[in-house]
Amino acid sequence: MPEADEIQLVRRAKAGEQEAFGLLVQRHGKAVLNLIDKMIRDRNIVEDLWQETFVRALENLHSYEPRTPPGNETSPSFVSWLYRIASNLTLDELRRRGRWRMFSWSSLKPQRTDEPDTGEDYDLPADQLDTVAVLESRENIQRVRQALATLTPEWRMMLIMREYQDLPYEEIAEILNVPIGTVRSRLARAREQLRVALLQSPPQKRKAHT
Amino acid sequence: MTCQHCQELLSPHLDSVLSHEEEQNVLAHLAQCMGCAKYLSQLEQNRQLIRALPMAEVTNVMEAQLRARVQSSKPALPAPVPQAQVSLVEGFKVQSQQSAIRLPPPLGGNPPAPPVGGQSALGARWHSWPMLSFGTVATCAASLLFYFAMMQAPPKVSAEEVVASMDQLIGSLDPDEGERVITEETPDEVMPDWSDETDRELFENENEQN
Repeated sequence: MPEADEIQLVRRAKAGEQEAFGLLVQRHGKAVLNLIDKMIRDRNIVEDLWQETFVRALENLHSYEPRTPPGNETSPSFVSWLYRIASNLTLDELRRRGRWRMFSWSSLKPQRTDEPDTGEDYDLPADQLDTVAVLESRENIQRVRQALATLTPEWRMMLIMREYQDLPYEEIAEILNVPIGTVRSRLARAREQLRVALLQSPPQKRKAHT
Repeated sequence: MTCQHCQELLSPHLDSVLSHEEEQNVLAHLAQCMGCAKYLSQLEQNRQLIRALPMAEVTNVMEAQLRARVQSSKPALPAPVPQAQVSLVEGFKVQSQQSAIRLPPPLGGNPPAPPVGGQSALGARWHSWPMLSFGTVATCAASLLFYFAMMQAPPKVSAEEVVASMDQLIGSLDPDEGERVITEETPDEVMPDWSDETDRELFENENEQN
């Protein structure tokens, strides 16, 4: 999508054209939804946060200045601005839930992260090298999601932005308002922690079809 | 290069953000270290696992709910911008000046405004915990007051007075009063009307089935 076209849409939306804002929702709604969806498992909360993101965007659209000319780094692109709203809402929600979780019984359970990292049985079998086929199994989707859930919300957000959204370091730093060096170091730690978590939960064996 | 140093650089190597010199050192180490090569393979597999997670889709219900929320949060200010054309997305009618009463989000390096106000359902939920605390305190106070009120000694009444009052109460009852009252106050509609033979057959059939 040409950035100039996007700027025109944003300007029309700022002028009060409802159709322009609707088109922006259609263009970026799915990306915003998947960022939140990979952070929170409760679908109702995900949809609430998705709607809240665009309501906030509309409410604050008057103060957003499109990046002109395209490529000017002093102003975020519109989708980065949306990501920033969505990430702040999501992290706030996770922090709020984390405060309540401090008082739950589940917090008293022993954490598996204390187990030694053997590194064995990690490699997928030859018939499971197609990761898409592996993820066809609900158990393996749960396995990846549970491994992601062992990360702190900030690290998980960075990892999702990088691996799932394929955002460059510069854009992640801009969205999360941290230096690029912080993105690089946190991504390395997040990947290491995810690797350990996945080592501790080996992939489910697929049942042979008869 | 040590294995630890190499593994610290494998994450940025995966993202192709290493300097030329760092990249050459990492590649040279990977060529002679099976452990680090396996580590890199695990990081690549994890990336594929995350990217293979199912994609969430924006549903029509979500778009409809967003339109409804936008309409419900629209302030009652006159629209300064005339409607240029009939919109395909009817809900996105909030004008930029209408939204000016809300806190503007900082841009260009600052994160968007944190959740403020209670106009949306999600915003209200964020701010619900102080009210919950107040409600909890009020409930506890009321419980304590009730407890102390009940702890007060009951009025002293002798056993003779209790027996006398019971005898007086029993003596005041008319033995025919209960039957008369039931006969007078029972409406005819309560009893089944057997004048209709069809209803009677149905009633008997139901009883047999039960």
